[in-house]
Amino acid sequence: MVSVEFLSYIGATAITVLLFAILSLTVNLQYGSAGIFNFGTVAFFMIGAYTSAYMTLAGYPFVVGAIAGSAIAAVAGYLISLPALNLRGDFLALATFMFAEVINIFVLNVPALGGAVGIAHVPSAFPWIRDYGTSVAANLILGSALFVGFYLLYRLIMVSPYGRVLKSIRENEVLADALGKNTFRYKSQVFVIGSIIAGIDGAAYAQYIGFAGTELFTYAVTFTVYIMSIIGGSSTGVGALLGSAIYTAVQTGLLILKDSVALPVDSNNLLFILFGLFTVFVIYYRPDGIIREKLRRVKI
Amino acid sequence: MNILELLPQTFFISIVDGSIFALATIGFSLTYSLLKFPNIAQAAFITFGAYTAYTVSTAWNLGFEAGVAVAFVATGLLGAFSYFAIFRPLAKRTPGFIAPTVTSVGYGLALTYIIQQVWGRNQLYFSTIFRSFSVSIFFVNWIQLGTMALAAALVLFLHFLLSSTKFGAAMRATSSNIDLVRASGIRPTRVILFVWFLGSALAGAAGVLVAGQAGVTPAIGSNLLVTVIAVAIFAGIGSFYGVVAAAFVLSFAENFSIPILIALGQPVYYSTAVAYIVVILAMLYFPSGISGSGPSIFGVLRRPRKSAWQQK
Repeated sequence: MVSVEFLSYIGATAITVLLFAILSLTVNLQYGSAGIFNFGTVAFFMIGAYTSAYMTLAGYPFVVGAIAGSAIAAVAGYLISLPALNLRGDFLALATFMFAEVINIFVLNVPALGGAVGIAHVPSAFPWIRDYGTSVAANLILGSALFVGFYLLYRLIMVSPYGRVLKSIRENEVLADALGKNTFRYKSQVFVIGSIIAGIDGAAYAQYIGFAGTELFTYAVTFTVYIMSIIGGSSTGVGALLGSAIYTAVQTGLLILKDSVALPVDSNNLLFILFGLFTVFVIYYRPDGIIREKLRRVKI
Repeated sequence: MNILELLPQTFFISIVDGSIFALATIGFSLTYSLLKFPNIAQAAFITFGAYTAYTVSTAWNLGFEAGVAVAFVATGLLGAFSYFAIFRPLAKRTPGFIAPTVTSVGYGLALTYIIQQVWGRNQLYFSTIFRSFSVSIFFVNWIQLGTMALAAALVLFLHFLLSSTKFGAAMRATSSNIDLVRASGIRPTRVILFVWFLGSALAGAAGVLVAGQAGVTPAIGSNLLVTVIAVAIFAGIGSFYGVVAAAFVLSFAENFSIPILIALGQPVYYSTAVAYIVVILAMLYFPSGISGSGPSIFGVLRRPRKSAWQQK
């Protein structure tokens, strides 16, 4: 008989995997399918989390908070996409990266958003559940539902003519332009869709951990999500889930290892050293990720 | 206190900060223009330089100058090793932008925590005490003067190297067309290896100079990283003079926004955000940086020499 604590632990890990898989899915949508280097992913995640935390603390239900969060993330995504998408690919990455830093500095200094302390006691999406095990189960269902929903959306986009335009932008933007597609508009739309997904995901994350603070949303999150996306395979939807699962499994495994084995080095340091090297090796041996895009044969 | 009285001091600090930003960014920008990806591990190089200098100057008691010199060489060697062991094999296997960038993130993470394992996570201070003295209405510290002098010397050295030596020409050529360089009988690997040495060494020097003022922590590099990226994109990747100019524009924007923010009654911590917003807005008008990044990547300011057929 497996104990409830053990199941809750597995469940909590699975929720983390799912929530980061959703964020990784936005990377796959923007970078993997359309070739947009958005290094500001964390900004939209953060906007969703903070908006939802602020709204639910003010008494609104979670759904309203999540919708508001995704709406503000969408507006922010649209506004930053206007100047940013005119830039060359790698400049876009650096510009969005700095945008995320600006958002972080801004939130850090607004007293209404908690400043450096952050927003604590964010109400759960399921305020009627008191028991820890049940709340983990409820969050697991929420996370799975969100992931499946967004995964289906991703698949829908990718199998439609719209998705083929995105892929053609990734492969050769000039060609897509020459075929009469307004590539700027397509890229801007994908940017906004990704921001909306990240916003909703942020709302789910804030209510799950019950806290929103600037130290949770540093640029390390963006890099983590990119690592997940690259490891799993950035041009498939399942790759996002696999990348997130591998990342979390390695991290959890190292955490368990450090508790059970006496090590000559500080275990926290060892965790990051090994993880950094793991990333380097995976990218070296599987640069396209574990799950690769299937190429279709087209009859001419 | 009158805000106008702050201005001379702010001006001076802006120059000191700009020197540090320039040193830290030149290396990032040089390696970026050769291999076409941002080396995020540069943050770890900055930290490594600071800690090496700490060990040499304070733990071994050899003086601050020796610390700077050893940090310069040691960080340079670390950078050259990184290129040789990690990024060169990777570039052979996977071209592109994201794969090497994410690799450098992972590599930087590993390096930073190795550094933290070796030196600990507590803030360390150099034993050398730098005296301050007042010049009419503002204060000057010896390390600030040293920072400015070292930065000026290194920038002049690089200017000379890039504009007047054959090796500099090879560096510029490698960044603009690597196939042509190979066809001309230059070995690009040697050039790239040297640029990685030099770029990392400059980052290490910048790390020491920051640490000399504020002490050493493992976060010293990652704190500087965002500014480095801001300066590099503002300048236009790979443009040497652009980097120097952008570093000062950014440091002036950051420091001079402080008196303005005080006058407006806003938190002074926004000053960093102000600098980044200046960069983002500037990109609307200069989408590839203030000096552009056309074919002449290293953008050396000099009259083009007449080629052989023109002289005939």
